[in-house]
Amino acid sequence: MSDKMKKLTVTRYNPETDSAPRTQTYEVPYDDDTVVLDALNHIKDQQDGTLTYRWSCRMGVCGSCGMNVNGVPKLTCATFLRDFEGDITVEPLANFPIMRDLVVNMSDFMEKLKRVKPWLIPKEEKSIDEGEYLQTPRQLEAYRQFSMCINCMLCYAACPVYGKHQDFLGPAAIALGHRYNEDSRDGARAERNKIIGSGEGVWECTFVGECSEVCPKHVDPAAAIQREKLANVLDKIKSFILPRGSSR
Amino acid sequence: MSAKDYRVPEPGYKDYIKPYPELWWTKKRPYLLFMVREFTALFVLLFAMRLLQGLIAISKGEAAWNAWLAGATNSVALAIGSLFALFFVLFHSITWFQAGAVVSPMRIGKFEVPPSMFVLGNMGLVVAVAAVIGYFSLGG
Repeated sequence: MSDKMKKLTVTRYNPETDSAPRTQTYEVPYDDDTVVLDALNHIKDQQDGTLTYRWSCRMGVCGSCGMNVNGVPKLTCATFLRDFEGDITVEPLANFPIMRDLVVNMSDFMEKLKRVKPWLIPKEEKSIDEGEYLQTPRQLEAYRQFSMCINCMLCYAACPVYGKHQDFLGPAAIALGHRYNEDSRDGARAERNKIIGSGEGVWECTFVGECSEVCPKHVDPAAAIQREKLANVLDKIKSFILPRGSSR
Repeated sequence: MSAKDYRVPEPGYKDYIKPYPELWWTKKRPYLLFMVREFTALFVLLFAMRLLQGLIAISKGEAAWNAWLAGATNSVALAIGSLFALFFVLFHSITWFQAGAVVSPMRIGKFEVPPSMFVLGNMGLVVAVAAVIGYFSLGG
């Protein structure tokens, strides 16, 4: 480490003693390779062992270390200190209840994710003897982007709709529902759309688009939501014209 | 089918819930731009209503149409208002095509049309159609 120093103002909250979060400022050495997560690890290791935060892979894959850095939702393992002019503020991911310091309660997201059934539900179950569910590269391309989601919840922290209305299913859950809806091997669109197409689903979204801006994996949840809106409208029109026909 | 309200901490937990700022849209530039986009849509509505008024006037006959035209050309306030509205209608035709590029991305064979090209192409089409209509309505 070089002698360059950076001030980090970090949110602290101890549910046993505090009635509201406060901040604490630490000074950490850094060089060109230091990321915010390294700085937090340095604090915990060298300065204050009580600082609490989540992390795991430190390579942008696990999605555990999401925090608001200078007010912007970021994966702290991929956010370099060298990119910031002055001091840095590290807060827990916005729009989620704070459990302790930088750790948020993600039960709501987990619950919502389950409700969109983000797994393959084939139209007809094939026996093992019948072989694999085959797919062409073109069919893969239809959903591939959306399968890159790592459930880091940065999109929820960026979404003002979710900030105001916690009923909203939210960007990642809908994007993952869309991922399976667009999968040629899947047949549970109608079932998923009972949730995705409802008032707390896509129709709550006003297309601010910040979810797609902050996504570290370049998934475009805003696009997924708008496409589900269109698909839902087309389904409604189809069921109006062909009341007995099933949705696609 | 409503999810459990997670904003009420589970028993044994004392989660802190930060109130969401009422003026959230002033906190970040993209939020502000979003609000500008939403609010200026009002001008599109006014513009459309004014046009609808003209269409109704046509259906009522020549006198009504001439009265509508006179209103449109004689009132300075209305002219300025219409220019203002026209500006936002053009602005929203761009935001509309931007959304269109996201909602139904265009492919030509293996080539995926980038959103900027989608918007430019569609705006070009708008200008072309407007030019044709303008040519005929101004007497050829």
